[in-house]
Amino acid sequence: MPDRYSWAEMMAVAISREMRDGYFGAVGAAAHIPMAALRLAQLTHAPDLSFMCGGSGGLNPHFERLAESSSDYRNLVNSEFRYSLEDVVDLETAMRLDFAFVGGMQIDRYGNVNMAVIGDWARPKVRGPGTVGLVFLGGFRRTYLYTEHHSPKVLVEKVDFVSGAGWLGGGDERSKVFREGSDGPQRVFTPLGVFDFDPVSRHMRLLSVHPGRTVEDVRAATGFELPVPEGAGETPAPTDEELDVLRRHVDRDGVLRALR
Amino acid sequence: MTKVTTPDEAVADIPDGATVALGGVHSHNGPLALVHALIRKGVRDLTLIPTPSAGLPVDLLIAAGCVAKLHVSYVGLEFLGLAPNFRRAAEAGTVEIVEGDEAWIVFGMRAGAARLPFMALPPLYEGTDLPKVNPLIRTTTDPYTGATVTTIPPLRADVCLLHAQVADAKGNAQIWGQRRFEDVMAKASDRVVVSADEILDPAAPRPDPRHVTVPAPLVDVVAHAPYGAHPTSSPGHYRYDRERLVEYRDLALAGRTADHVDRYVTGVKDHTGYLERVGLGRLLALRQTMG
Repeated sequence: MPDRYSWAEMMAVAISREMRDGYFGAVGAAAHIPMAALRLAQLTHAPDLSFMCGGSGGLNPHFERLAESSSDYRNLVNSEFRYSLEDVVDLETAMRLDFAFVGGMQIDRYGNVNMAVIGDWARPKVRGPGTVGLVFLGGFRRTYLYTEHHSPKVLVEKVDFVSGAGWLGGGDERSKVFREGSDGPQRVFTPLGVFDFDPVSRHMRLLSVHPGRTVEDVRAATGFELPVPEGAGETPAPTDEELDVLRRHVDRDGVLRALR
Repeated sequence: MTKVTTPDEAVADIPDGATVALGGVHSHNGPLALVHALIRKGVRDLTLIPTPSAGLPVDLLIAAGCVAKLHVSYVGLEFLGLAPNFRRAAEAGTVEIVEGDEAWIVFGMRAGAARLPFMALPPLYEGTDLPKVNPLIRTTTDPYTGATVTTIPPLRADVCLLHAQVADAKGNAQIWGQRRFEDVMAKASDRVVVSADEILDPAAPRPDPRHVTVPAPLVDVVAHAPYGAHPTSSPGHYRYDRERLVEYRDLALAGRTADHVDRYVTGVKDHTGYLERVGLGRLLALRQTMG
């Protein structure tokens, strides 16, 4: 990995670039990286991007430091509006969110997500925290998946329990179940690269590998056979301007910078 | 008539087997003074319906042997990882799990609050495994369109435990932090107990009504509990006590939550004893700052 920035900063910048001005979305808990990415996007190319900041109840927090809890009071008192949990579920159900960021204990090759159990539900090997807002993958217009741990245990062939439905079994399975306009998982952001889904098979594939990583690194860390299309290249490294805004206006304590 | 009492008195009549709704979001606004009082009382076989982002209060009640059944949306310690006692109990099958999520709890309690027969939802649970393990997630026919819709039942609790920053003696409660849906939980509960860091003096000017988030007619008992959310935060009053949260997590991981319970819960007489055990210097250092 290059010395100039950390993998977490690379992830935040990669996410930020994908965010379109005017979109309205949400992040959940344990969301340092997407929070930083969205704030960075607001301060660069997407000033009218809006997002709800997890359990804090703060819409568009103007933070300059990343609190370790996205529910931190400081993310509420420097925001533009105090929303309620009911607002969140209403908007999620009504397909009013252009995007949401979602993580999981397991993410499979079709973008299905598990936060409930590893192993059998009745006698789990690992009891996870629970499904929280993941059923709303059926209501988000676009879902962005992310994980800070790109490993064969996280990126798996098939999730043990479907908390959030991605492309289900692939192909057109998803469109038979959910409403038109809920367009499913679009990207997966990890410390190693950016991934998307084949438009026909809906199988996860490599979009770009982060500088300093190789396709072999990515394949070795992925728990299923990962297609690498011809156009897949290297993620452009963070620019000086992106790093400057990130470090001076979004993450002044260097929380992401320390994740190496 | 004042509704103000102590945390121990406030929960004294909660019986074994009660269904209890619990406020708090992650490391914030956990009604810990009330939870500690419940544990001291030795209550058993509770059914818990916590907010969709639950943590330490639920884990602690499980460790103390108070819980028979739990509605799960999220139970964890957020940035500190999984909730060890919840995890152990779920893996061993010693607590009955109702596999839910944010929609289950929020829509369920909304139905409970208005005493609606059920809530009908568009396709969301379809394609997930929740209906396979939660038999109360069902389907019916929408009488207007003929479409099949998913239904979830109303949720109600016997008693709801919330923490507020300020309350008056009538029970008008101010929760300054994230507005989750404490008011909905209160409406969905037969009895509401609010702990508050501060009780307004009856002679003090009335607070701006726009700041009251749970009104007195919904509140039955007010427990005066300074630092009543410790070691979680009380938004606007004090931060979460990170060192204590880590200590709790580490003891819990080591299977030694009983040490924590002995020291801070059953080993003290009441909430004042708890605060003395935690220590004045430590508590004052947590006062909220915006730094």
